[in-house]
Parts: sequence; structure tokens; C-alpha cells
Amino acid sequence: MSAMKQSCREPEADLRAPVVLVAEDEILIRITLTQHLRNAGFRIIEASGASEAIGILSSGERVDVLFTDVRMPGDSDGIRLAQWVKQNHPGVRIVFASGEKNIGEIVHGTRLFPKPYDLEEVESYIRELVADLE
Amino acid sequence: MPYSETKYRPSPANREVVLVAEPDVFARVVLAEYLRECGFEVIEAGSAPDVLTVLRSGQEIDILLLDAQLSDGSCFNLAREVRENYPRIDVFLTFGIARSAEKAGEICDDGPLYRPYHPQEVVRRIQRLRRGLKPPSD
Repeated sequence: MSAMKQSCREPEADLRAPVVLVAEDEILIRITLTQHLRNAGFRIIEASGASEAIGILSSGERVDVLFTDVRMPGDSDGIRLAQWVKQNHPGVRIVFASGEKNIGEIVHGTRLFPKPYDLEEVESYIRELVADLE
Repeated sequence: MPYSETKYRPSPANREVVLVAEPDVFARVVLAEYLRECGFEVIEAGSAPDVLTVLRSGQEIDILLLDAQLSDGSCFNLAREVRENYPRIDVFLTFGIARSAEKAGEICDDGPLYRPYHPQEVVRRIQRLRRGLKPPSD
């Protein structure tokens, strides 16, 4: 019985796999992206906004990359989140996504993916960012 | 291939899908991870509107794990709406993380894999995250 059950299991992300925290308030977008990245072998933590993302990071959970939407409802948006991360967790790599064409200055040293973004391209970029971890 | 904002990929065949509806991000993350370890596909939602968005997108859901403290105080209405409009979904309403962890354990008992650890470990992990304990290296 356990052998049959074991064969139903799809490969799970290695515990040593890079951890990507995805902060995105639009649930269907978040689900599509996180499913793709999980299937690609990353460990994914999901946050529906900046305050949840800050909570996760503050708890001590390991995060290697933050992928955040720029505009999110609530107290903070993606840019403030990224600024907080740069101050408090400087080792976390940051990637932005935005549906707006003109969003002004983004945090220095980060990349922006305009929506709708190509999932393979996002995956490829994150792999580059964490290449030194693997 | 660019994502679509309205369509959703069908879930892989033979893998049950659990929608975890939990407003507490720590509980949601830990419960979702626990259920994934048990072999389920898991979708995470933090609010009633998000639950409805997922259901209305056509995404197949087999189990809904619904915390009674979900935002808007609307969990009972939501549970009723799901039972009326999506009758094939098993709805489990829970109160508190201990009960959520216990129910996740029961789901895992019926799932594709034996559960990897005791639900009490789920509770402890959620509590540790809430306390914001950092690993010794920080």
C-alpha cells in the first residue's frame, strides 16, 4: 500500500532548493506563478501583500529571492517592501513585477518584469540570481 | 508562455487539490506545506473573495479547508455558498490552528501519502513563526 502511495507522489522541491517569497495580491496571478516555480524546483512561500511578506521575513524563515508586485493594497506597496528588505535582509535578491508602464524609480539593483510576464523568463532570471547558492 | 489573468491550468490528473483558506499567513504557509508533503496540490487563499475568485476561475478543487476567522466574518456564508454551488467539494470548517492542523492531519491520513509528521508539529511550527524566532546564525 505504501509503495503504491509512494508512486503517486510527484517530486518535491529539495529542502536545499532556493526559496522564493512571492508577494502578489492577485490570487490567480500568484497561483500561476508559484505553481510554475514549484514545478521548476524552487521552494515557494506565498504572501498576499507586503505586510505578510514582512511577517514571513521577520519570523526568520529563509528567503533567497523576493518576487514582488509593485502595486499592492494595504499599508505598504512593493517598493516600500523592497526598501525594508534591503535594510533588514540585504542578502535577499529582489525582483519586481508591475502592470503599470510608468512606476517611477524602483529600488536600485533590481529588475522589473512588466505584466503580463513570461513565466519561463522569470524562472530563468531567478535561476541566474541564485546560481551562487546551488 | 505568458500567464492568463482569467484562465487557470487544469490540475495534474490523479492529484487531489486542497484549497487552504486561512487569514493567518504563518498558519497558511505551514498547513499548505504540510499538505504538499502529504502529496496534495495546494492552493493558498487568505480571504473569502480570494476563495471565490479561485472557485469561479474554474480551478478544480476537491477539498476546502476553511478557517472560521477568515476575513469579513463571512466564513459561514462562504461555506454555505460552496456547499450549494460546488457540491463535489468537501468543506471542512475549522476553529483555531490546533483544529486546522488536526483536520489537515485527517486529510493527510486519507491522502496519497502517509502524513510525514504529527499535526502537533504543525502547531508548534506556526507558533514559532508567530513568535518571530530567528535561527541562531542571524
